[in-house]
Amino acid sequence: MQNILNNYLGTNPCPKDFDVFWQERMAEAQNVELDYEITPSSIPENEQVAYDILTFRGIEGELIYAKYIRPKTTKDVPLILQFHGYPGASRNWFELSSFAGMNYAMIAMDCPGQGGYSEDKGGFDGTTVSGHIIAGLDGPPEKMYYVKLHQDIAILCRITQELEGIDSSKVYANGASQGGALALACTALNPHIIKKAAVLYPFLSDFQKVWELDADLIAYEGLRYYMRWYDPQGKRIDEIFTQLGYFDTQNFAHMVKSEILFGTGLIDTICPPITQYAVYNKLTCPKKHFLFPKFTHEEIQEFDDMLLDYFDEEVIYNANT
Amino acid sequence: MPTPKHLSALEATIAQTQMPSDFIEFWSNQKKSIKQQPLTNCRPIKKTNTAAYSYVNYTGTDNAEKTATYIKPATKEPTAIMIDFHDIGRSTRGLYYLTRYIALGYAVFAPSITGVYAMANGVDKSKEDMGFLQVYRDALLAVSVAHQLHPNLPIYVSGEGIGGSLAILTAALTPQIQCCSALNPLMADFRTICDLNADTGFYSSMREYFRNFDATHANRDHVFKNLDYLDVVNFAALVQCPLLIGTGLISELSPPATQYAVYNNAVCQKRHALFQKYGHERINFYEDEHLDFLLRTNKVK
Repeated sequence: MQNILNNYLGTNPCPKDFDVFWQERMAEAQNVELDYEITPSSIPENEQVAYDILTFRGIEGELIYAKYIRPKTTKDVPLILQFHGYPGASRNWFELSSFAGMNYAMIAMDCPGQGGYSEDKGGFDGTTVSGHIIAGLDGPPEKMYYVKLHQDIAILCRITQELEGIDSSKVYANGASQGGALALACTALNPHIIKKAAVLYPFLSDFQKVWELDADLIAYEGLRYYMRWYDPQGKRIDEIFTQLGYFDTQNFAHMVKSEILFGTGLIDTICPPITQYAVYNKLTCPKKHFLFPKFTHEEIQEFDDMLLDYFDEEVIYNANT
Repeated sequence: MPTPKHLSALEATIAQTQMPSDFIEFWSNQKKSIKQQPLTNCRPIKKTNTAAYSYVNYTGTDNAEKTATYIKPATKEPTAIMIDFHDIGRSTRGLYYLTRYIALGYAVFAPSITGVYAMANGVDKSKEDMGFLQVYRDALLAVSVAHQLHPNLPIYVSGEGIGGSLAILTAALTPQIQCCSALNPLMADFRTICDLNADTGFYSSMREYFRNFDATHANRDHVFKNLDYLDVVNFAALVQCPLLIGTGLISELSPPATQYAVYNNAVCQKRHALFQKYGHERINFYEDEHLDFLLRTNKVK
């Protein structure tokens, strides 16, 4: 089985114009005039850490909300872009403070229309009743939910380059599940900005394999609903999965140039390990894959602890090395 | 989930347990009998620009070797030491999790607590022979070790589930503790646990005791009078520092009525954060309450 996993390169097709498509989408995001604001949050003012809210206008003018945390220091600090799981929201301020404890700033944005505060202005072609994977699937690919989300993230990446007190040469991405997928795509699409990423059990990968495994449940349930309602006999499989391929995580892998730390719980029933291997095996950048045999799609403390060393390039002493 | 009417009833909860007349004396003696152990070693894990990470070993009250994770700011003196007690069914929180306290300028000490799986061991014997005493004694010892590391710093305690219970009891018995927070505390109002038939999960050894050794509950009074000495409700009454309790209102493991019994018995400055659709779990929004509580209570400098 391990041999199969190690050599697996995915089932879902990659659209022929994938790279050109994304060049065009990134150019669109590049042309948006930056419009953002930083305001204090409700967390009490203190001398150690600034807890602010960053709001900015996304690709369609929607208001995107993010938590912005930074240690109070006179020196410029590195920045982590943190992405959350589906269909949640940025995690709590205290949890996100660990990076401030490492002398890093952190921006944790809420994905539009999910469990946080970012706006989703909608307007998707086709059904919207069953989740964001299929939002816009019946229209042109550039109008799909996740395509627009990657554009919103590109806008956020541009904003990071203007922030006072941030070392703009050290901007990194981190996330688990949907957050892992977004961190990886963000790294692929913004190579001049994102210099390193950590990805734990990425979601949105190898949709066709998920469907074939009958794992199109829970976070992937939209896929099952869509296929049952709109292609019950499987006559449009190539067309549907090719369109989903525009935001399939594995299809971004070849574009990643910077280093990736990758983690997989081997009894993950939400994001089947084989779909994660499809991503990892296609990465041609410096990479490291850590496997957790008895973990499913859950908090993996061991992987979290690895973030400390992975992102902190200035570890003075480490007993494990 | 409790309806508004049920919530009103919960708010008026009076614990069934009552503090034994010799409770303070009993625990004073217990505390005195805990020998301060020298640290056997402090093993560095790593040092970064912001923090020094290590494991501390010491001998527990059961003479077994105990380990705690200890992190302190690398370049500046900490303003407090936070003791983070973990819940049942897991080990100490990881280094990444605990680094949140470094952000606030604290050192953090997270002891590994062992032996919590049969809370009813020895409850039919004398109160000094209850097995769970060792867990409480080890928690007190952990506070003493942390205090040994930073004798001049205020101590804060925090925990979830049984960790919350240990936070409350150590705060009750340690004057140096200046801030206490607990999410879904266990070991509370045992008679109510029994009456609600909530003696499952963590409390299942209590049910097993009665089923196997006292099917008619003829010995009920003796058992519950013993358990009064372990009841977090009684410790809550002694807490003098600010106290935050978080309650998941659909917690089956730690019934809200027993948590209200703890909260209502506290006479210190206190805050109760309620989470309507949350059970015995990590609660994202509780962690924000915890951060807010720490910052407002201690005005971090």
